[in-house]
Amino acid sequence: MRSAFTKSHPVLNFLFFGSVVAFGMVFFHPVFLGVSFVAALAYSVRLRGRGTLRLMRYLLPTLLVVVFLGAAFNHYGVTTLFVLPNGNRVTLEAIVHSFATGGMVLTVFLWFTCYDAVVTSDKFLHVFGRVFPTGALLISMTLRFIPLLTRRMHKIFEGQKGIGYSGSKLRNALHALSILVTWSLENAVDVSDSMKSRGYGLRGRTSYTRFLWTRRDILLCAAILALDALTVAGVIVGQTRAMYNPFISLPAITPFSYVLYVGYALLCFMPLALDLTEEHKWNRSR
Amino acid sequence: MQRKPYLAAVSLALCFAAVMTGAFLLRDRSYYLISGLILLFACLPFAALFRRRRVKVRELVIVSVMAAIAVASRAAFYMLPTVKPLCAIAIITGLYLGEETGFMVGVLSMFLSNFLFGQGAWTPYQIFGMGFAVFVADVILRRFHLQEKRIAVAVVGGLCCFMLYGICADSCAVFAIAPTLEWKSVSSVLLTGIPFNLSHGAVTAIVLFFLNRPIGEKLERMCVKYDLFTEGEPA
Repeated sequence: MRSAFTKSHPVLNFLFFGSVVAFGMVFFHPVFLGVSFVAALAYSVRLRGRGTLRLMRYLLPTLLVVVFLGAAFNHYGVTTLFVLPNGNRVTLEAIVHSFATGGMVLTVFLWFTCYDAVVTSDKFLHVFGRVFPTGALLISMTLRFIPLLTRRMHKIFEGQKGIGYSGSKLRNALHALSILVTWSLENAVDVSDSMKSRGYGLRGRTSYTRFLWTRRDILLCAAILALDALTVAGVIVGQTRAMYNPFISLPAITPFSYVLYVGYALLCFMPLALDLTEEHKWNRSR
Repeated sequence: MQRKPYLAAVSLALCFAAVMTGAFLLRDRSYYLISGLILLFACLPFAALFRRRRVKVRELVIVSVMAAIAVASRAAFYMLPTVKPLCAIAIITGLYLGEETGFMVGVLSMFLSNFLFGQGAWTPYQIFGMGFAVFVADVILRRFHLQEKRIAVAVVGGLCCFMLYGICADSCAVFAIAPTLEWKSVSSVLLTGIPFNLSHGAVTAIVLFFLNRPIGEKLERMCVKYDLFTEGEPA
């Protein structure tokens, strides 16, 4: 689905996903975990619809297994809930800690499903093409070669079938791979000669991009950076710490904590809010 | 090919900075993020090495084609879905075109195959694991001039794939699931991965055994015919 956030500048997309994934991998604090999880789930459902819900059918049981294993094998903590037949204690702390760990993995996973939907390979190349021009060229070239070579591979299979190839599947596949290498290596030299004759590597060459910086992009970038700075400030003063071993201890809630919670929620829900606002405006204008 | 020792130093410094940030700023709890960052930084010297060398266009395209073959080779075994010859193709490339090229092909093909099958927090682990396994296998085999010994290539390649790639890729799960890094939880996660890694290593060994010479001869021929991947001045 093409959304407002999808259409904004790739640098903005990267900045956002870089921020939420990095924070998501670091925070164990229940409030921050919860905010990030809800935001990731909502945005993923918005972008991928049923795909995400189907995914959750597998992810939630996995989370439960992680919690179960964590609770069954870790015996730290002061609050004993009950004692297993073999004398090991099942503690509240271990359960909560496993829940936090599993939730963190789940959240990061969901953010990556959003990343996959938003950052397409052309956006990736636009952002990193400036930093590593050779690398970007390699990536874009290879991305083009993969479908081409897959098609060639099927042609080779058809040819093999046509001349009545029989034998083991493994043998045929290995043979086809070897044929593919022959075909493609000679072809690669033709490609590179063609590139050279079209001026690859000459100075002053520019490349075409479809992405423009709008005022909204600049404003949003500034907003993300400001919210990042706020959250990092929270990390520095210790507001995002959470300890589960040996007892659950969370930092004291001060007025600043609320500022942090709201700031982090604004950051995580930003793309979704952007999409919904645009949709609302569009519906009203019709 | 000239080496740039300062690049290794920069990479080490970045890794150190990441560890220190993890230890002091994040109170040593974020193995997940920090280990991913370290792996990305570890790839830098290789990537930069490749960039500095003013690669010929032909070499660039050949690297790209070999990486694409490594990814597309999955399609060759569509009737045997567990067979993924990516690692084997990267190792063969490195054997004949130099271990840095092998590293590049391994990293590139793993990265792009992640593009097709979904990126995730495991991407840096898989990328680095693949590059590392290919590089080590190629260094060992080239150092002892074993390129043309099918059995040696298959054994070393298969073992590197099984041990090095397996451990690197599985450590993602370790950092994600194990709440504390204790030997017991780490080893239990790694042990669960062994059957899968074993089959991956075996497939790599089989493909290497059968394809090392056929593909190797073609690569050698390209190098001789077009004067590629030699130590001399780039054109």
